Amino acid sequence: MRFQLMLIPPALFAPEIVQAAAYLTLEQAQQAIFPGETFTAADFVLGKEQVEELLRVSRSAVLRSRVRAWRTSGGGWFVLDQVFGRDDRIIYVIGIDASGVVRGIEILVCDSGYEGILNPRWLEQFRGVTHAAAGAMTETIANISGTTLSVEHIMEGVRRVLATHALYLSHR
Amino acid sequence: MSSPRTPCTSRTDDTERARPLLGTTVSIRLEGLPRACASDAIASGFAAVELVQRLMSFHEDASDVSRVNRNALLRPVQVHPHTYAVLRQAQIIADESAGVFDICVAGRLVEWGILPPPRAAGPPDPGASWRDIELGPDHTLRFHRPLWIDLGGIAKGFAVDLAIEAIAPAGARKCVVNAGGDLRVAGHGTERVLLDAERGRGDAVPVLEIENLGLASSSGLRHRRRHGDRTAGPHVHGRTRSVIGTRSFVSVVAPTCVIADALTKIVMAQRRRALPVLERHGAAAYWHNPRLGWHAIGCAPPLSIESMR
Repeated sequence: MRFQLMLIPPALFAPEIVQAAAYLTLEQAQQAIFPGETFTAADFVLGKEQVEELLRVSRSAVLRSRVRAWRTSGGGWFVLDQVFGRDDRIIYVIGIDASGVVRGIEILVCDSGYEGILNPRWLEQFRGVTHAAAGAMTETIANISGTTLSVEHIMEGVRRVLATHALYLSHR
Repeated sequence: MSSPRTPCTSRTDDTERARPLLGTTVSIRLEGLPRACASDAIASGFAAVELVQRLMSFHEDASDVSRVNRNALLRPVQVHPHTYAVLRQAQIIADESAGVFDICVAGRLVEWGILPPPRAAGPPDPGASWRDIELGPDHTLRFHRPLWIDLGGIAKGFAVDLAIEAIAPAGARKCVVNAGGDLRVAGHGTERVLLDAERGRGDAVPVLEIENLGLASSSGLRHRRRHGDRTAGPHVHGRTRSVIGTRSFVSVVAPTCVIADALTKIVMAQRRRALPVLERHGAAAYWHNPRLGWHAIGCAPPLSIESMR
């Protein structure tokens, strides 16, 4: 049993160290986006044709066929998704209300150094985005210096989740 | 994962896997085992974490915790020995801290929108506390007043401990289980963990080096939110039921992760006055606030590395 806290000047900080960041948990994110609502798991698997259709409609990479989704008691959808950052994955969630509008987006896991995307004001920009308007996101969402890939991949992910919602979830 | 810290380790000897569990990402890393053995050991570790998630989730209707919240006021409810072990540990720490740590603060967290209301459980009595929980024989318990328990953080700590125990027989040189900052390191060699406290540009980076220990951290700042005209957060003082530590960051090291997690709440509420409880469990704490900086409680002060070349 041994321990020692070291305060290291940032210039000497070696990024090999494990990041023990604690962002929002899944449940906290659910309540942050849909306060007071209850959630029913509604995962499903995209068939081969659906993957192709989604690829075409969203113009985004479809990395996995399983969609992790929850139906909210207010008729909205809550989707857990994963995209790649520069050299790490980013796990995030999107809340879409009953009319197909993004209610909110929260980052659950991301590598250290990309904290810019955790900024609530940056995340706030996604509020109100719809499937129809998803193509215009590159103009409306501000980029963050040094985090370009993460930003682009999150926008791509949001586009794919909105397309998934429009194609397969909105009529359920 | 190979790194300059462990130059004698060949790449194939380190195996790391991560899975989304317990509302966070749980990762398990083993060093010094052939890949095939390591994969089996890691699978048994994840199975342990999944079992804890099934038993102790506040959200899942079929969990022990949900069953207890629905029925323990009406009749004694039998729970899994693991759930009972966590409850007993929680009651001991509640007693030692005179109720500063209390698993009955769930009602407050629901009120603030941090936890969803449990289904089909009557509203809690605002005056109910850990003293209204009676642990009986054969892993049963009952409530003497309407209340909701939430094992949240300590269940996460317990899951990490259980995973370490499940992996131990595989004989890895070193094993690290990390559930979103609740972390335990077992075996030989140290692990360096970055503490995610609020940090301005140019501020020193806090890195905790640990060996054979459990570690848990709590950040009030990251989870605080507005509730009406007040600030709310995930940490509630067991006695006053008011929010604590919305600007603080606390890390506790202890022999087990479940103890470390429980003690973070007491340190957040009591800072230096938590020392007797820390000492009783062979634990120590680091506390940080953006205005006051770092403070060590029951351990050597932080080491400042100004000239490390």
